[in-house]
Parts: sequence; structure tokens; C-alpha cells
Amino acid sequence: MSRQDDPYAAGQGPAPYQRRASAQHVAVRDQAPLRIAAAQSSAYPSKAEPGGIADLIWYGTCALLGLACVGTLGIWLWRFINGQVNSTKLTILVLVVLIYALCAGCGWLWARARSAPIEEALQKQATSLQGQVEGLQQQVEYLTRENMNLQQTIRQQSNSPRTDPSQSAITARRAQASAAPLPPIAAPIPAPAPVIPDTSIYEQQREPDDASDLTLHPHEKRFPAANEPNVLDYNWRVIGASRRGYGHGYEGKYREDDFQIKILNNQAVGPALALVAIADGVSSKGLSRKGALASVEGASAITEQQVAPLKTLLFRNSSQDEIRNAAANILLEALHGAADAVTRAARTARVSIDDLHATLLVFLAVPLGPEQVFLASVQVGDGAIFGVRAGSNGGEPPYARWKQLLAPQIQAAGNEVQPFMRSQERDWYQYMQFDTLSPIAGIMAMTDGIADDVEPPLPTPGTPEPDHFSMVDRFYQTYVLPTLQASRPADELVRFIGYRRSQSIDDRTLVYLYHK
Amino acid sequence: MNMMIPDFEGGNVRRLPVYLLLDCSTSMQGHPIMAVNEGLNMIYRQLMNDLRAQDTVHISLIRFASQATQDPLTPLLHFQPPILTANGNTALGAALQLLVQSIREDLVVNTMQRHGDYRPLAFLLTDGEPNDHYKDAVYQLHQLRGNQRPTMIALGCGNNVKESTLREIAEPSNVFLMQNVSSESIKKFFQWMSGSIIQTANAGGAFAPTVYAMPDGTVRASDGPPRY
Repeated sequence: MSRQDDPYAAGQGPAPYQRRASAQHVAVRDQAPLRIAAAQSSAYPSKAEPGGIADLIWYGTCALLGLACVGTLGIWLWRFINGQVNSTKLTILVLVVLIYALCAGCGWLWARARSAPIEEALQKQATSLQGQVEGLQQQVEYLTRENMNLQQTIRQQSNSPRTDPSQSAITARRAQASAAPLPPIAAPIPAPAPVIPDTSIYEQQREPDDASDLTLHPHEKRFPAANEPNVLDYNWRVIGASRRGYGHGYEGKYREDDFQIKILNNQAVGPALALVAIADGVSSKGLSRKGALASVEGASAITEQQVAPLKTLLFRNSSQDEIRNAAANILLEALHGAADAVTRAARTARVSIDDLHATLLVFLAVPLGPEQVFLASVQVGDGAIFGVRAGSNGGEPPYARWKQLLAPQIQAAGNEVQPFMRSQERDWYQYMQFDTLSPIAGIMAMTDGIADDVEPPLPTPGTPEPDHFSMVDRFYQTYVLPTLQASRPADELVRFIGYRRSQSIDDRTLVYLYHK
Repeated sequence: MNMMIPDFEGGNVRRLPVYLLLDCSTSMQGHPIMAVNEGLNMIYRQLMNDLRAQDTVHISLIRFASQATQDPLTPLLHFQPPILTANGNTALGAALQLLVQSIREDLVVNTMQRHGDYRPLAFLLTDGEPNDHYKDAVYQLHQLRGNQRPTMIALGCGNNVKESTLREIAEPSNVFLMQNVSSESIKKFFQWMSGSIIQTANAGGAFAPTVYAMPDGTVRASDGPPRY
């Protein structure tokens, strides 16, 4: 129902529901006890109220009767002392006085009996209200103490010195919180120990309970690890890095990302080719790391013989359709190789394929010139590939420099991801991309541990149309470009993708193909 | 070369919206509403203990009595547990209507380019039957799709709640019934709630019930046939 259809929003009657700001709630809460108290006091009879002509007449009549009684009694006593009254008349007088006293006493007792239940009810009401007041006082005291604790804790967090610059994001968030207006404190109450931990829980990194798989699945992986060739034609190079995420470190789990890079540089056939496979194990599956490793090893088991047709076509500058068909065949063989490898791994480990689920991204890149690359890619999952244009002088906005070559497959629900082993061959064709990129300076491929961090920013009132590649460019400038200056860029890349970011605790893998 | 690694600032923050639909009708007066107030404070404290929850959880309180009122989605760091009072009827339909409206208007949906918010968690606590027309709101709730479809968890307190009503709102496996209602049991339910929120925040938004035990005497509706 839209707001226009809502009869209450249109002011046609009292709204059964309202959305209010929290400040208004405070006002309503403050008034509520008063309203309750007023309603309860009016429900019971009040004591006699002063004023009114009837009351004055009543009091005057009583006073006159009293005076008349006293006067009559005085006259009779005076006449009795002077001997003017005989004993019979005196007896009658005493009887009259006794009857009067009896009537007055009965009236008093009757009035007292009538007022007793009312007094009792009032007494009970007073006791009940007293109890409620005490309860509310206790609640206010409790909440005030809670408020004190939290304020003190936030202040301690914001004031505590931090030497580790990686903590600055957390410090900034907490400082911001302490700067927010907090309600005043009624009275200083001794506060117990703070409840918020001083450091991030993700600082606590621990080893897996069964560390026997660390040889196959180390927490960090890089390419080139030793002296493997990583140079392609026209001085293009490829480096790769993968590291365990902070979340898995905290839980004592293995790195579940994996990647494999294979250089096929038989110059007798054609230009050198880089085949890259990147997999991300599904965290909910216990042995997904094995599935990820099997996937990338199976996908990269492509031989020179298998890529020879593509190389030949590229060397001869054949038609785009022929080149695409040849590239598609290689990708298909890579995916089939991955599927076979996962099946074998499941059989070896005597587990279900379901336990080895992982996503898979495969691409092959063939440099055709200093600023030209043929790229064929496919993925089942939520990784991404970005390309940065060559010849940029740095003054152009990110959207003019970057291109998304392979987008993550984001599901509608957002949390689920399609594992590679649940996809079918007919799906693979529609996931394939082929590009001849020119002018191009670099290609970044990544798992969702990084891809999620560089998603297009949301529009804000200040930036209604944000640059979709602003985060990609910032990531590239901050963590990728600096590593290329190092003597061993892959080592630096492993270190740099260990950056800290709020909410970013997944494993991270990045492969970068660049022209040096 | 050994440069410091700068933090990666900026970009999108995925939120885990948590809606608390709390019955503030007259039947909740006294100890029950005080237990709810203490429970809210407990949730706040426990969530603040978890960094992941601090980063992701946004809370919105929807209280309902003769009418329903919503506090807007607020980041956990800026959330202040209110003091609730109980008086009035049980306008559950109005509360569900507010929930649907907030989900439609306030949540960032997933697109091909970017992830939106995590699927919201909505906890409903009630001790009576609705006094208003709630069927329309329930229908609209079930029409929500993708990451807008909330995970509803409903707790019925006491003997005045019909299990069938709660089953209309939440999946049977997420419907709980508490026959003997006490302050302790309500507080224990809030502890279970906060544990589940933390688990969900750490599981990347996939609802993950906590290992905390539910209060004694609480039964899951799916354990048996509905009781009318």
C-alpha cells in the first residue's frame, strides 16, 4: 500500500499507526506517568470539600442548636440552685439530656461505619502508588547506571592511545559516537567495569585445531612464489596474492580462497598466454578449501597443445568469431577440468561434492602489444575483473579510466552464491566474456573479499550520482600501484591486501596483470 | 620497502536491520513490561560487545498497543534503549504494516552492481490476540522478496496467544510459545535474541539461531501440531 492509498496518511481519521522521531518518544514517555496518576486519583471519592451555602446553613444550624442546648441547660441549673425547680422536672431534664447524648453518639458511630471502606480503599491506593513509585525509581536508577557505564566506556575507548594505525578506523567510529549528544546524568553513580572490548575481536587470530593441511593451504599464497616465470610478451607481467581473511583467522579456519596462474609461453606456436583460475570456497562447507584448490588446479591443467589453435589464430590476426570460438573451447576445457578435479577430490577425501563447493573464475589473457590484450573470461560466482585504461594522465575521473570486464553474479537475496559445481555447461556459455582491450594498462581479477569492498558507492544527498569506479580506483592507487615499486611485488601485494576495513573479514585474492 | 598499510575507508556499509516488534498492551503492565525494558538494555549491551554487530546492526523498535509507533532504523552505536510503558489494545496489524513500510522504504536492495542490506531480522513478542485487521499486513509481508524479505521470529507469551496467528506471520520453525511467563523467561528470550543477532551478523546476514538456550517451558511451534 502506498502512502497515497493510506487513508490515515491522508488525514481522514486518527492514524492507527504513526512513525515518530525518537525525540518525540521521550516527550511522550515523560508525560505518560502523569497521565496515569491523574486518571487513578479521579477514580476514587475525595474527602469533604470546603465551601457552599448549604454547608454554611448546616454549620450555623448546628451551632444555634448547640447554643440553645447549653443555654437551656444553664437556665435550668440556675433555677434548680435557686430552688425554683422540683425533683420531677429535674428528672425529666436529665432524661432529655441522656436521650440527646445517645442520639449524638449513635450518629457518630453511623458516620464512622460509613467512611471506613472509603478510607481503606484510599489507603490501599496510596500503598499501590508508593510501590509503583519505588519500582520506577529503581528502574530510573538502573538505567542511569547503565547510561553512566556506557558513557564512561565510550570515553575510555575514544581517549585510549592507539599506536597501531590499523586501528584508526575503529577509533574514528567510537570517537564519533562519543561526540554524539548523550542524555544528562542525574547523579554520579559508581560504574562497574566497561563492557566493550578494547580491541577488535578480529585481532585474535588463531591457527586451525588440526593444522595438518597448512602445507597445502597456507594462510598466504603468492605468485611468483620463487622464480617461476611471470613475464609475457611486450613486457606484460602477472602477479597474484591470496591471504586468509580476518574472520577465518578469528575462527581458526583455513584460507578458503585459492588461485593458480599458468604461463603458456611456447613461442614456437604463438604469443605467450596467461591462464588464471581463482576460486572462493563456500564458507558454510567444511572442506571448501579442498574444493577451491581442486578447482583451480583442474582449471589450470590446460596444456600448450590445447591453447595452440587460439595462439595460431591470434598470430594470424584471424576473424573475431574464430578467435572467440577457440577461446571458448579453452575455457570450456578448463571448467570441465575443474569439475573433474573436484569430483576426484571428493572421491579421495570420501566426502560429498557438496562439502567441496566453491565459486570459480577463469580467464586467459594474451598480450598483443604494449597496450593491447585479448581477454577471455568466465565465472560462476561473485568475483570481478576490472581493466584500467593506458595513457591516462591521472586527471581523468575513475569512470573514464576503468572498465568492468566481469561483474559479480549478485543474487536477489544477496547472501547466497551459486557454487561452480551446481552450475551446468549450458550456463557456462552465457557467463563467458571476450574482449580485445586497447589501450589497456592493467587487469585486476579478485574474489568477493575484495570485490565487495570496491562496489559502486550508494548515492548520497551530497553525491547523487557517485562515480561507479571511485572505490576501484582508490583501491588500485592505495594497494596495487605501490606494490609494483617493490623488488618482489607479489610479496608486497600479499601484505597490502591485508588492509583493514569495516565489515571486510573475508579471504582476499587478487591477480594483477600489468604492463611494466 | 616496508610501507604502512593504510585502512581502506569509505564505500558502502551493509546493514543488518533488526526490527523489534514489542507488545505494549495493558496485559503487559507490571513485571512483563519491566522485563522487556531490562531485556532491551541487555540486548544493547551484548550487541555492543561484538565488533561485527557494532558495524552492521541497525535497530528499529516498533511498539504496539492501541496504535503502533516506530523508532527509525538507528545504528547500534546511536541506539538508546527506551523505557516502554504498557497500556491499550493489541494493534499487531498496524505494527506489521509499519514493518512492511519501513522495509520497502528504508532498505537498500541488491542490484546487479552492488550488494544491498542484509535480510532483516524481525522479532515479534506478543501476549495476546490482535485487536485490529492484521491479515492485509501479513499478506504484504509475504509479498516481500529478495533481501527485503525479513526473517520473522515470533514469541507468543501466555495462554491468550493463538499459535495459528503466529504461524501466519512467521515460519513455523521460527514460532515459539512460552506458557509460563515470568520476568526471567522474558529476559532469557532477549538473551537468545541478542545471541542470534550476533550470530547472524557474523554469518554475513544468514539467520543463525544462537547456541543460547531458550527459556524453560518455551516450545517451538514446529515441534507439534498447531494449538488453537
